[in-house]
Amino acid sequence: MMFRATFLSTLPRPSRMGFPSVLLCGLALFHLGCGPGPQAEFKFRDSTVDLIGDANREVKKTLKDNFGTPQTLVAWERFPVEYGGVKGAVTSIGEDKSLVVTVDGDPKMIQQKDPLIWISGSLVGEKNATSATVKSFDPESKKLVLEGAAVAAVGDRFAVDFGKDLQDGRKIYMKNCMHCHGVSGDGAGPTGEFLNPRPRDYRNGTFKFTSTRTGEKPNRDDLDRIVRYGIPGTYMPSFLLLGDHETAVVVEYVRWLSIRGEFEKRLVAELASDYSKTAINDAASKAEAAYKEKVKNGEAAEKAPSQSTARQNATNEFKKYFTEDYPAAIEETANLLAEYWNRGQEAESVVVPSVHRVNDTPESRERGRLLYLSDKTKCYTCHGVTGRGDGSATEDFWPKPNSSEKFSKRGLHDEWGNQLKPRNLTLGQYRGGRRPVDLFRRVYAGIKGTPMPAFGGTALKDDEIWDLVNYVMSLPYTEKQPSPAASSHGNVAKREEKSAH
Amino acid sequence: MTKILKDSWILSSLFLASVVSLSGCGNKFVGVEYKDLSSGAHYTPVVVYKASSSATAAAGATSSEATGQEATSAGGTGTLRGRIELTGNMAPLPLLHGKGAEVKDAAVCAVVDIPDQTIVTKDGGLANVFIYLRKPPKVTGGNVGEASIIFDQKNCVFKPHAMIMRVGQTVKILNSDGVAHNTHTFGQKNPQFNSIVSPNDAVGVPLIYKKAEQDPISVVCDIHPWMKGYHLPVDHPFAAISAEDGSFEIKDLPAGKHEFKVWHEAGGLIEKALVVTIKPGDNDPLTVKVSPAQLGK
Amino acid sequence: MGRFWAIFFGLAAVITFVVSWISPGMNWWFPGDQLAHSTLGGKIDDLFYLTMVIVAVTFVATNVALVYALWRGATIRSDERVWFSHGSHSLEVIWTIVPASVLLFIALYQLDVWAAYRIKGFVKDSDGKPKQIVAVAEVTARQFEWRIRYPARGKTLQPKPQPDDVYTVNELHIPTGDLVSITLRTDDVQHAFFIPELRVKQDAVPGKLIPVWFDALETREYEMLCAELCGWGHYKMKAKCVAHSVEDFEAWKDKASAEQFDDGYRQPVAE
Repeated sequence: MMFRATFLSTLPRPSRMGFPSVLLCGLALFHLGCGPGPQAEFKFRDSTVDLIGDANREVKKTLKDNFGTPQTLVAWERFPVEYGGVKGAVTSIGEDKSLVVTVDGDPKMIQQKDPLIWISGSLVGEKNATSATVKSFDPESKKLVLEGAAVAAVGDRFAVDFGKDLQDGRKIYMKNCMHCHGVSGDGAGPTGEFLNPRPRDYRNGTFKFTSTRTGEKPNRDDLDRIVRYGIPGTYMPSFLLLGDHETAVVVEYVRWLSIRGEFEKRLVAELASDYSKTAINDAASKAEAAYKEKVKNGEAAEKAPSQSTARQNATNEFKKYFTEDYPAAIEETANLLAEYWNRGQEAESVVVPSVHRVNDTPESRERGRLLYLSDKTKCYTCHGVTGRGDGSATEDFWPKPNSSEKFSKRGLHDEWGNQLKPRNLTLGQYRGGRRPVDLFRRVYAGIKGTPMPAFGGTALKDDEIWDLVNYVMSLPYTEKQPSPAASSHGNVAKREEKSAH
Repeated sequence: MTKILKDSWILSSLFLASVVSLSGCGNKFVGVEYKDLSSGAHYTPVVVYKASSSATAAAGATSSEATGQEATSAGGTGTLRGRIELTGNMAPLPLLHGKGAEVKDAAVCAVVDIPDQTIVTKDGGLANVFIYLRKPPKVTGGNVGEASIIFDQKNCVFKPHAMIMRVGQTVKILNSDGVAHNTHTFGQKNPQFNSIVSPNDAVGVPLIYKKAEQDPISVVCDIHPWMKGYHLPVDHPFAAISAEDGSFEIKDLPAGKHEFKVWHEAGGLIEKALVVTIKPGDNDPLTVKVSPAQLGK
Repeated sequence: MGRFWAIFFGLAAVITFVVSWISPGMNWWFPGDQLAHSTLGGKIDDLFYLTMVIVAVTFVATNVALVYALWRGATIRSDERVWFSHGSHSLEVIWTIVPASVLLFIALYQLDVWAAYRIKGFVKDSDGKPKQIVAVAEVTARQFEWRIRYPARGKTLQPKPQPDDVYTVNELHIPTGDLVSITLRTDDVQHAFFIPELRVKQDAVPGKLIPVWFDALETREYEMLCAELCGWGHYKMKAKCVAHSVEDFEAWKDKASAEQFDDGYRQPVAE
């Protein structure tokens, strides 16, 4: 005690505060860490960043112009996304500047104080600058009175409360989905990296569990189902308590994010072979190698341009490309996406069985089992002879798509590059839904983005698929068979041949 | 009590200050309203309307028709013949697997030696090289390939290994083996085709590419990992694949300057923009030299 | 200054008492509409109120003593002598035995309620026979949802999944009337099954199958929550517990079963 008193008295005055001064410093530091908080940004793909300077900037600008930022979303009408609000057109103008209009949707949705924007005609603003507010609207007489002085012409089209659904969808998405799926829908949100399987990256435009045919986009019902009931066996939970409207708007926002991501992917793919740093450096080094070879052989050869010259050449070429072909590339990409998403929504795209489910009898299951083990379907190569997902395909090294390399890990991979195990069918856990029609669709149309192929319409008839479905649905409840012990291909083939009889 | 307060006046004034500043804390993230945090759930973004058709669309459509190649010139058409030569010596590639090897479905897939088709050469020529126009021209009329073409699988090998088809043309995927194959294409502009082809299927599963691809895309089988093939759907007839001895021929090219891409699976894009001037009628044979170094050997 | 503190503490006690008194009327007390919607839950509420009354009496008594002591100390004149107590053995005994017996009373009184929740067959109906408990579902808690498995109509719930079981997510359907029980399990970490308005809460422990029984008096939706911190999504692990009448419950199960075994075939619409 004495020592402490004398020691402290030798120190300069403030330190004698002791504990209070520690607390003081702590409080000061506490305030230093606080700032305005993170702002959301759309991330760009690695392949976009890989483009040379001008191309990089132009692609980013195109994306910003056509899709906006998380703070200012651009709702491009050409895509089949329900942005919300209701549209109409002016049919006549009254003396008191009131308008009589036709409304494309439900007239009751136009309410007082709703914002209105002009989408065609003389009052169209650059960035919705000229807009008005609804002063009053009578649903019976369709008489619309607006605040503000600007007067429309007959035939002008307007939209009331445009983008409301996209706004609501974004809010729900940021609250519930962003932490896994990311602000850009790239599956790389803060919690995403801890999850296996990884959250879906929407930017490929591929969704696995759909009711549509092979190669088609999902329709709204598919995405609605996933949000509503979740995906058992993964970290995608059920959002049953969100409610119908909220689910619908968040599905629209996800579609919008997917379209944005795929637009970026396709646009960059157009440019990558000519204007990406990787491709240019690659070509330059190949030209260098060729030049050296020619010199070695004693032939006349032009000196290959260096990498920086090659990049400069590419930059000059890009200027020409930009004026001549780039707008067409944007058009083509947007058309493609609109076409694919529209087609996915059509009734013809949905896989509907042409026959009722074959009765779930032991005979049907046996037929299904024989089909499963046959050379016609080869289900067992991936899903294993006993359905455990331990087929021989899990031991091979598979080639990467559009590349001469192979994946470094054994086993199958999905189109996002993640390792993918074939489903263990004995668990009774079906990610895309456990209804018989869901399993039918998995077999008929395959699973997009994965090696699971489509069997329907060509290889298997519908009643054969039902036999297979009956067998698969019985697997969790049958006595578990031990897996074949040998893992070398030869032994499995022999055993599989034996059981196929 | 007052003595404590007097001694720690800095502490207490700071405490009061933080109490005051954090007092708005219900809907704030220290000074910033929650609704202003754009990463938050309370933020209402602005939605900007963008019409479907815009000025750029119209301009784009017309400009793309104006460019392309100088294709519709009045100068007649010519034929381009040539050869892809593999310079230098290269050790022959080892077999993919030999007869009787222990591979999947050996009874079907290992009845003969299966060569590695990554690099196929004969008489110094390089096979399976794609030669195609760099910028597809807007060709009106011409043969869009009503006849379907065959893509077969025998002894667990794609036949042909490399194939060119027209957009909209039916490619019949056959299976001449006694086991199922799972043909899976990885299109960049086309959706992936992933379908089982039944054993001994002589009718074939139809595959139609609706869009032209920029560069050849790979085709694999998800049951037999070694199977690999390449497709290039184009919407013009000016593309060819070199034969076993490296020779190729492209007919009816409009006279004028053209830029060609030369692509091989091992070397990638060997030539990105090979400029060739076409005269009406026959042209001098074009020789493209490829060294094993360019193929990664 | 002393008087100030006496008044301050006295006022604090009065405010506390008044606020507690008006809480149920202001809907600050129990969740929802302040009532337990189950018979077992009603017993919990009774216990709550009993404890409240006992504690309230003690609170008032001790605060009166405190305020008196403070006031007396503040108003004592400087010439009054302070009385030094040498301790009082009898007082010590009194104020040990009285609280102890009160606590013992509470401990014994609540045994019935504890047993009603914990011992199967303890709850008896009017005939004196153990009240029937209907095993209605197996509830699996996982991060961050509830997956629920019901037996098919007319069948009993089996520990192992059966081919005709009906599955739902985040929706627990129960019939009103009888006591219903669920088997609680978890797929990953600890969760807790909690229906506040029915006053039932049970931790779900990995590796255990825990029976939980309760009843619902009204046919309506109840909120179902997770009450054990289970990760970053714990706060949104909400579900709904839907109580039907017995006929409606069977009808619902038929409908759910039909939807679950939907084979997707639709009669082609005649042109």
